[in-house]
Amino acid sequence: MALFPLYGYFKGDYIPRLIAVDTDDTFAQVAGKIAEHTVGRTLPNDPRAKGYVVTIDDEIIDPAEILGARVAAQKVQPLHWVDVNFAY
Amino acid sequence: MRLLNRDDWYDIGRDLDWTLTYVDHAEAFPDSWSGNGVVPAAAWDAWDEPYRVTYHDYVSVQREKEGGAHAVREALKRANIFHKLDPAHTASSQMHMGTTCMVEQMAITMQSRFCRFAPTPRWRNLGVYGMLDEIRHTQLDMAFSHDLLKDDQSFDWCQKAFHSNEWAVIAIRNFFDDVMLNADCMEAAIATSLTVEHGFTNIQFVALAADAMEAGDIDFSNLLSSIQTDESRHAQCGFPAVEILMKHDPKRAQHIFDVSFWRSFRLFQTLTGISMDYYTPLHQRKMSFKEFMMEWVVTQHERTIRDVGLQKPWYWDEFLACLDHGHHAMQLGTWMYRPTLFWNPNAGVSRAERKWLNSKYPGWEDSWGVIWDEIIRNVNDGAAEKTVGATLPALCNVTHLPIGAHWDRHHVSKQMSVYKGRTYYFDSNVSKWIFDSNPERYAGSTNVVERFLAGQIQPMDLGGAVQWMGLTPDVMGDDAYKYRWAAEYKSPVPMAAE
Repeated sequence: MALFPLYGYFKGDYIPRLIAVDTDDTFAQVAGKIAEHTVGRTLPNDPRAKGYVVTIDDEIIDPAEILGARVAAQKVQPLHWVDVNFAY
Repeated sequence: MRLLNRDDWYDIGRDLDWTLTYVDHAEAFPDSWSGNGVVPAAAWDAWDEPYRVTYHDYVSVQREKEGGAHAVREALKRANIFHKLDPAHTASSQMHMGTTCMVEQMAITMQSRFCRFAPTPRWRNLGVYGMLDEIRHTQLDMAFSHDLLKDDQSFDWCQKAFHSNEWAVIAIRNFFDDVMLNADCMEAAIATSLTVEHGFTNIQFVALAADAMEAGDIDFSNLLSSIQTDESRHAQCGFPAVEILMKHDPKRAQHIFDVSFWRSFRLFQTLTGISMDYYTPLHQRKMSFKEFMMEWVVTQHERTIRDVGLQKPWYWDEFLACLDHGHHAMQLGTWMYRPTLFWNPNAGVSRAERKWLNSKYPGWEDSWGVIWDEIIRNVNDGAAEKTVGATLPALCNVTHLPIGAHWDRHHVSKQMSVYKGRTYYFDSNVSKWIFDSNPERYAGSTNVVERFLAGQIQPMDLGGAVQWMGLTPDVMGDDAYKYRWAAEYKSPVPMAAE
């Protein structure tokens, strides 16, 4: 369990941001932490959405996967760019 | 005894030089300072200054200018016009003072470098006048700002800003470190004199002075006009320098121009773009930032490019596309991160202003209106805390400006390079190209996010960051009109019906 910095970008927003997440977070939680800076602040919520989808380096990530596992496998570095979008 | 006419002695005085015998020429004029590169010594005989001035003439003219500028200043000190100014215009003048005064101070060093290390005595001679110009500009900004301290502490940032870690100032300082202080004479002449001063700021000063006059700020207009007359003169030094480099190393000249043009443009979007399209009161706007850029800056640069034989930068089409967008992103970003500013920004999106924005930028509603709608909803719901950025934006490792802010929300993309094991992110493919073409020049610099992660900012939150930037409650930015502009959105009036 450790704080981990990412660059999170929510599709359609105007900037990516520094997001503090935890290595124990699932990618569903990571997505939520990125989305809270956009949805309801700079973009409206989409009532049709069923959650969020996370993409890293063009790969769609399983929301149940733990961030720490991907960090341990050196697939995610500090300040890695993570894209989030509404899932339909 | 009758004095000689200027033309009888000017060339002898200007060309004063001698053959060095006690030191090697390369030691006295190191390439790292002069930037001479492959240019043969004889080529400098062709360097011809675009204006002729003697020290006597210079002092005489400058004395008159100083007298005029300070006479207006003294008269207006008594008139107390500051309190009659529109708060949005005041934001423009405070932003200008804080982001410009110490750039003038940095330019003294650049011009001093010309005086000492420029490859020809003709250029060294003119450097003296440039140096004296820049001393005058710094002191004028300081004097005018000092007069206004009694009205508003934000004018203290005229001197303070460049001694702080305020994020916009870091971006500006980094740019001028690149094109002035870390530049040899040749780079500085092309990047600063030709590109920044001749191509951007000289024109900007004319426009800003006109806007200030229109807004009733005669004092600020008077200051800008007085400075602009010097800038338009000493900026001409870039032309003979680039003409010589184009003959002997055109690739290098083109590279210096391409880098400095993009970096100048990004800062211009940030400062002039938001000032013209959002801070200038609506009824006083003469033209949009894009119209201004197309009519003055683009035309000016196209003429320069044609006259000296340069090519348009390879990213020219992207630059033109970005004229419709980037400054709107910077406006949104600066307003949302207003506690990190030392002025009170105007949102500039009342219904009437929005109508004007849509008329000037047909894509504005789709790119930016949707975001402002959410912000307005939060303001009117009493959730103002949601309209302030709660974490740092990702920042570019070249421009130090927010990633995503050069174009619009449909063009945000990951641009990155890995150099010596460290990952660098960029706001655009152009900034990535700048880094990749000379990584050692930029790799050692850290942006605010990296300084935050290195533990330099404590406590590690936005409050800690604001404190680290040196912002105190008396100057910390808030909405210029205290959100009154948002109230009209409580009654739904469709844009189409307006």
